[in-house]
Amino acid sequence: MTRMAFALLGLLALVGCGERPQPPPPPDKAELQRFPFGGDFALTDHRGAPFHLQDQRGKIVLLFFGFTSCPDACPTTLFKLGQALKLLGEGPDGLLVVFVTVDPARDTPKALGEYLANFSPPAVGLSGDDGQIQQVAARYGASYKRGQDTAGGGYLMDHTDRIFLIDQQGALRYLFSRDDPPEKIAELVGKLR
Amino acid sequence: MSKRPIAGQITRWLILTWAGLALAGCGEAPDTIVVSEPWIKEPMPGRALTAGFMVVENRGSAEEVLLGLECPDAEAVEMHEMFHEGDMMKMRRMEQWTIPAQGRLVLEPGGGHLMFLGLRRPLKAGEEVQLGLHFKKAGHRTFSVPVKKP
Repeated sequence: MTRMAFALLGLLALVGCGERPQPPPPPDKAELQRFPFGGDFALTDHRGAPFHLQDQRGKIVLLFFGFTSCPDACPTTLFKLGQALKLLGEGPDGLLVVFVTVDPARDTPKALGEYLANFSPPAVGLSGDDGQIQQVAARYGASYKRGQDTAGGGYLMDHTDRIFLIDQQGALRYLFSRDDPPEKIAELVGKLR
Repeated sequence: MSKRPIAGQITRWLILTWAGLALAGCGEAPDTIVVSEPWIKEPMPGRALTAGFMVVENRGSAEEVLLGLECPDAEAVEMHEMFHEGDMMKMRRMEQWTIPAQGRLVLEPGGGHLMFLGLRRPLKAGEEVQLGLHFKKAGHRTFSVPVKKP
């Protein structure tokens, strides 16, 4: 038995011989980054008031693009953000969730207000004219486009489904992808606090 | 209350149940389409639309086609494929969905889904809605589908 164990060990050592020593793969530890894009913008919030990102200095902002007629992806993103913020276990102070519509024709401030009404902690829904929203999207490396028509005169929107993490100084610090779990969002937001 | 002995009553019930089951099965081929885990997402406040999910399994030896759906609580139910190009989320309406022999159609959050449009009442978690599925071979099937929170 012992001999066999030694033989196995030897074999393993041999197999390892020809290979360049490699650091162990990172255990999926996400680190904050600093992106050279993003930045301030102005749109209209769901109460009809002007919204300037620079007025949110001192707050961590989680921003994403979506539309309220989105059946699956956008409610899922909101739900995920809700879970992440719950994991952080503190009040909404110092944190703001921002939903920028990519469908200003249908997403009036009133529609955005209704849509976000039950979301906790409070979120801000932003709208504007298509040109303004295209500009904000471009600034964040996001894009959107009207898709197919649906029954009843509606239509679908194709859009970037990342969540943008903006720090207290207004800098873009992380781009969450659709597969990132709420735990990862909570972890990175926690690092900014 | 009958004075018949209890054992006799049970036997009678068993026979009736068995006869009923036998009758229900009459003329029907073994079910090749099995729908599991159906659910509808509770709509966001103020929105008359939502998504639904399910797994449709084709246990038959020939391909099956899901041609369409209907729900008395919605103006229309569309079949949507969702896919990603880079970080873009895209949706496309499907005219039909083909389910290969011994294959499955999996509709789940983040993937293909049913889009319920023009909801006729605000659906709440805990309620059930009737959903009809039209298959090319298996014909029309109706299921009771629960509404749930995401």
